[in-house]
Amino acid sequence: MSPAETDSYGTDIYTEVDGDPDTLANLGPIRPMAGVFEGLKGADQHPIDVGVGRSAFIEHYELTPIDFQTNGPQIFYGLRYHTNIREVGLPAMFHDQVGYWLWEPLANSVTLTLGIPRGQALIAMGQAEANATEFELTATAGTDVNGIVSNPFLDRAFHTSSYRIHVTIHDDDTWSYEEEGVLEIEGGDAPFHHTDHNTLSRVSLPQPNPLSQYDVGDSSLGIGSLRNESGYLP
Amino acid sequence: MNHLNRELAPVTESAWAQIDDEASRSLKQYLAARRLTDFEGPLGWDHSSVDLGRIENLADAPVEGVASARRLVRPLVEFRVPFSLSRQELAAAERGATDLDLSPVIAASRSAALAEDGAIFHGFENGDIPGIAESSPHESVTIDDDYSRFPEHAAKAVAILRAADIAGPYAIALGAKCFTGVTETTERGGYPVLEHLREILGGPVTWAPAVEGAVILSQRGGDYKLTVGEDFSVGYHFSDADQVRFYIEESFAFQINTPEAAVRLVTR
Repeated sequence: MSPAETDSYGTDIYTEVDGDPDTLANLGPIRPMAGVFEGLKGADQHPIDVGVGRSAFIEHYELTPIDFQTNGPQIFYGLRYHTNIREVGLPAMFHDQVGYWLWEPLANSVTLTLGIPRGQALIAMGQAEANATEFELTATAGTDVNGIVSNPFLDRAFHTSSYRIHVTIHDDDTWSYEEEGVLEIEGGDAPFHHTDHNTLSRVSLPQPNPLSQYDVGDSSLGIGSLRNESGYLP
Repeated sequence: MNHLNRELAPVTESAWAQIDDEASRSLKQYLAARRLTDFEGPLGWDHSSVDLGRIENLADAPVEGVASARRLVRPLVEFRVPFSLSRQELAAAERGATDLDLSPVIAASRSAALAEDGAIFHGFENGDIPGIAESSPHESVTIDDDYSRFPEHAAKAVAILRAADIAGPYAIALGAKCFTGVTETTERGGYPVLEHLREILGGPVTWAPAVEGAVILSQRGGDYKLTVGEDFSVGYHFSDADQVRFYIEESFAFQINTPEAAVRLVTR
């Protein structure tokens, strides 16, 4: 099977598809996640030297609409996110994570890019309808697409072989997730299932993406700032 | 459709493209302040004011024992420049003509650009726009027609800014006469004044036809901010048998945070 046959984009990989400046109107199933959310009853199950550690955590999750992005014929509408997690009663950051939630309408797929400051990144992907209220994304180590990469120590001592996140959108302006990372721990007998789950409640509405602001009733000439334009005598 | 009513104009897409391109090109040619000040926007036609973060205490309140104050804002100013094009000329665009007589577009764009720059550099009192040059508390540096000495004057202005704890790099907005003088003159020994000026300033040398004399201002950022509501746009007004009437408009406000960040150079 040729690469062009693995998706619906054909052989013209250069012609850019035109997008809608209004990202919020095109986010498909991740639209309800746009904005700022907090969850006060998160639960984590992680490996410790004597077995399984369990933590209750507080999560602050910000998801900001970005302008549409294209790779030739492929188009994404997305949310740039940052989630910060602290253990209940403790001031220090327990977990910090950044990345993008992306909706690809032409492929009916949701993609999550995830980066954490422990030296690890992944891309997880799954299928969903535009009006879906549940979807699941997965990533697997050792593949060129939708994979997992870690720094050398993490890869040796706590190798993440797979990742899965299941998202459920509720009708009371909340959403929840259950995620699982399967770890192969050095010296361990069996894979460890690192799990987290939380329900997040809306704190504030999303800010529209920059291009939609620019496009509001706008037929301007787009002059903007000329600071970076070469003038007569730059 | 928005308030510009472009869809109502008896103008083809091809003609609109030529009008917009010409207006954009002319505006970029004449605009200078946008090269030298902080910029925010465009925030849209419906954006009406800039928060100043300050209040004005009011003398009374509806209930005794209650203090009242009013938030202070700087309203955006609207500039609009009308122009017209002949229907005959616009019809030529539909036939494939690419050499439309767009001189009215150029003239209107020039006026619009000079209006914005004039307000920013020299102020527009009725629009509550303080001018960079007029707001400067520093004594102006006097220049003359001997442009071989212009670097000395620029160095003096930069020294004033440094003494006032205003860091560089610095830029200069040169009015039309100064621009000509600076670019066509060499110092004794043949060194171009322009090059010497660049070395003194460390920042851009800009043609600014709306400026009287010249203005040297810091480019460290944070001192001057142009807030644009609707960026320059071409709108449709009305048409008759011979002419189609358009306009170029924008809305903006200008804020000076550090009046000390500029020195004016004035002719004797």
